[in-house]
Amino acid sequence: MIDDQKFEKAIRAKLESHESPVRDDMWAAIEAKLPQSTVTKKVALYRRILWYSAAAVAAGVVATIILWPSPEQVMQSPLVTDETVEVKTTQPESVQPHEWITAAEKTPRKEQLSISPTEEMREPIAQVQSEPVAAVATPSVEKTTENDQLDNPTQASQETEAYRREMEAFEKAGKELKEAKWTDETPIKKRQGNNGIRVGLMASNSTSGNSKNSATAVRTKNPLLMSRRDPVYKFDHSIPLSVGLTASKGFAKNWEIESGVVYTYLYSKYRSTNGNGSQELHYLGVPIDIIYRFARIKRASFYAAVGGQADFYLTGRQKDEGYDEGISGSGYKKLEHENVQFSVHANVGAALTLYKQLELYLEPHVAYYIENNSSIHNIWKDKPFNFGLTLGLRTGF
Amino acid sequence: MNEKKLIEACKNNDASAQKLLYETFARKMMSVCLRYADSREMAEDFLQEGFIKVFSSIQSYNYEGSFEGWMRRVFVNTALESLRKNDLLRNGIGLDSLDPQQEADYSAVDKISADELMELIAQLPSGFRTVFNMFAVEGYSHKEIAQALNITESTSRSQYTRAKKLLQKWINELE
Repeated sequence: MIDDQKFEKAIRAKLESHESPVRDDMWAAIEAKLPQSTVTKKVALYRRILWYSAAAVAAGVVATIILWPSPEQVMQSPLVTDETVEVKTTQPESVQPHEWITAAEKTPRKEQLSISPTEEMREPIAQVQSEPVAAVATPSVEKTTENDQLDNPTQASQETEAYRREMEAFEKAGKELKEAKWTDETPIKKRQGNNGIRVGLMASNSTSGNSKNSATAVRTKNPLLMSRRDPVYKFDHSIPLSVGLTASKGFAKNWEIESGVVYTYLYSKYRSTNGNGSQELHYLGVPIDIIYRFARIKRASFYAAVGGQADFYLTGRQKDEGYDEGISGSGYKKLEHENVQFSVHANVGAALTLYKQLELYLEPHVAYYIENNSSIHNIWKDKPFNFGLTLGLRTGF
Repeated sequence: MNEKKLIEACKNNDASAQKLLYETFARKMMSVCLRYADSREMAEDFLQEGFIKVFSSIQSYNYEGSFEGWMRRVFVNTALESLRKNDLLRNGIGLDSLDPQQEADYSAVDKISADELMELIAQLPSGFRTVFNMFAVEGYSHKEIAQALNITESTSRSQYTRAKKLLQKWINELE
């Protein structure tokens, strides 16, 4: 018996704290079979009702955001109407209504320009008329007038001097108008306050020469192309796409705090008086979120989060597709700015545990982007309250 | 998080606490399972079933005795249930040839490693191995073992003694 006790003590001493390695995927297999999920379902019944209600509200908010008139739609009407009235009265139907005509384009009257375009003038005119987008660059020049000139060269030579004078007057008038326009801040303020911020800001930047967004087109002194000095943009923004790597730490039951880095890609297409193009912007953001996990089913969990983010601009570019490539060219233009973009957001998300505490998550979010006075137009500026979709990896610790 | 808080969180079905509890005890419980199982695969089945039982019955743990001891009993019961179901407890072929009167040098146990001892225990036929584990390692009495395995106390004593002698023989051969 005494021997038995010694033996047992020796065996227990050896084996009491003995450990054996366990397969890494064992927990996932156990977790999948845990009755916890059924218990959670019972406990979470009222929560589910609550969250379903919240999800319905969120869906409503998102739908509202989607269907809400975009800044582009809002900005068009007053500006276009105001600035095109005079032009419409002088232009023929064929070259009329371009929506983003600028003040400088309005000045010359039909009879002024139809007097005597020279040969070198006719070429750009012809180009302009063959390009519907370019109609704004040739205020009041009519094809019939041009044909008349071609049919009667003698008259044209006689009117050369008159034409020169008219062009000087045209340039002078355009200059005066331009100066008058940009010394008067009212239109800019009006645009900024009217959500038509793209028009106001882009035009302003372009004219002042400070804009990094100004069109690459202006490389001519041809008065007929002066209008291009005031390009006006209309953006169509694609949904932001973000990919992030974040880490979270639990601080209470079902509550976590999360931070990390999130890369965001913004893509927009634009139309302007200088032609069409596209814009790509790249940001690296640092989010901080408070997460509440309200349901767990096997390896999946569902959560809601609120937080903020600081997005740092990495790089960006615009690619103009100029209608007159002989003058404007076509190519990439790098965009620069330095202002940090701050935002607040709310997410709902679903996470799938891949390995130990490593999760793959997908989360739609609504966010409000605070004005950062950047010269770059993006969806955050034009639609400060917007939504997006984030796909990422998260690890806990 | 101390053990009591961890247990309370598990009682509340906190998934992160369950995971932490698993990570704390999985390797020790795997050792328990391996001692009762015929193979590593069987031990993994025991481990999986055992943890599921731990989490589903943790409400019954009332802090009397150590939590680790309570967990070990859950895992041993899980293993016994499975062995009984598969009729593996009667497996004791080959031990009758041992001389039960042979004296053993118990000090030899100290000369081998825990892993070596585990390997030797694993060589025992499952019926004798079970009695040996329950008596020598877990500390059950022969009466408890008899009730648990549905055998007589004398059978439990006999099987234990024979298992011990065989183990001793293997230990001496290993030295």
